[in-house]
Amino acid sequence: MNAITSEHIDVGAYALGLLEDQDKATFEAHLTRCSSCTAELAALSPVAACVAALGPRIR
Amino acid sequence: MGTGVTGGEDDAVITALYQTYRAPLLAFVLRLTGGDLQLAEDVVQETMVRAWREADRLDVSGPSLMPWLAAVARRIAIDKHRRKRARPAETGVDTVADMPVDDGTAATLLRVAVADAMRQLTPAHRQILNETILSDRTVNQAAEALGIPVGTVKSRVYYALRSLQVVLAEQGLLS
Repeated sequence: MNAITSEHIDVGAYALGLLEDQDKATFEAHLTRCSSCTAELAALSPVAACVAALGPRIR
Repeated sequence: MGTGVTGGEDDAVITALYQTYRAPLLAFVLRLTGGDLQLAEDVVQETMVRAWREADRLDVSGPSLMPWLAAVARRIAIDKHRRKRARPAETGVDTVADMPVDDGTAATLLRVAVADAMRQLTPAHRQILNETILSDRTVNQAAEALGIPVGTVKSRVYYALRSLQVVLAEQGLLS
């Protein structure tokens, strides 16, 4: 797996809905011109949905 | 049934399998089927048949067959569930993750499988998902709670998702 730079790395947190407003807006702007992030988001969204399905952590 | 029944020895094998593993396996499968006993019994039955067919490869008298049986049972439960769902072939929807959330059995199957997959992540990756999405925290809030830079949290979240994607794909839950 190649290391990815910081402007792309937010795709993970974005897929999970973990970014705060400013980062979210910045990433969405980036997304419109980055085809690799668009593809990555499509690939990670089902994974994010699986994690979200676990619901709140039980410890 | 495929392989030849040669007599008493096979009967002994399947009887031993049932006596030892029926109850624990049924308890396990019931979680997968969301409490549907009929479906769970069918899954256990098929799992036992498969174990019996492979009895010459498996050491039935060995330590515990439970991990092997559980893995086979999970596959069978997922396959049964897919077959039960009438859906147009052209949708291309073929993963548990695509099953509707209002379907109790699918949701339970998914949660069990994902929780299982989470356990295969590195501790750092598991922790970061626990401290963010599963604690209802943004990356910034998690960074503060953990005392680490937000960039580190974002990076770990990203690599945790990538690792989870690999594990879920290996389990056949994601294409």
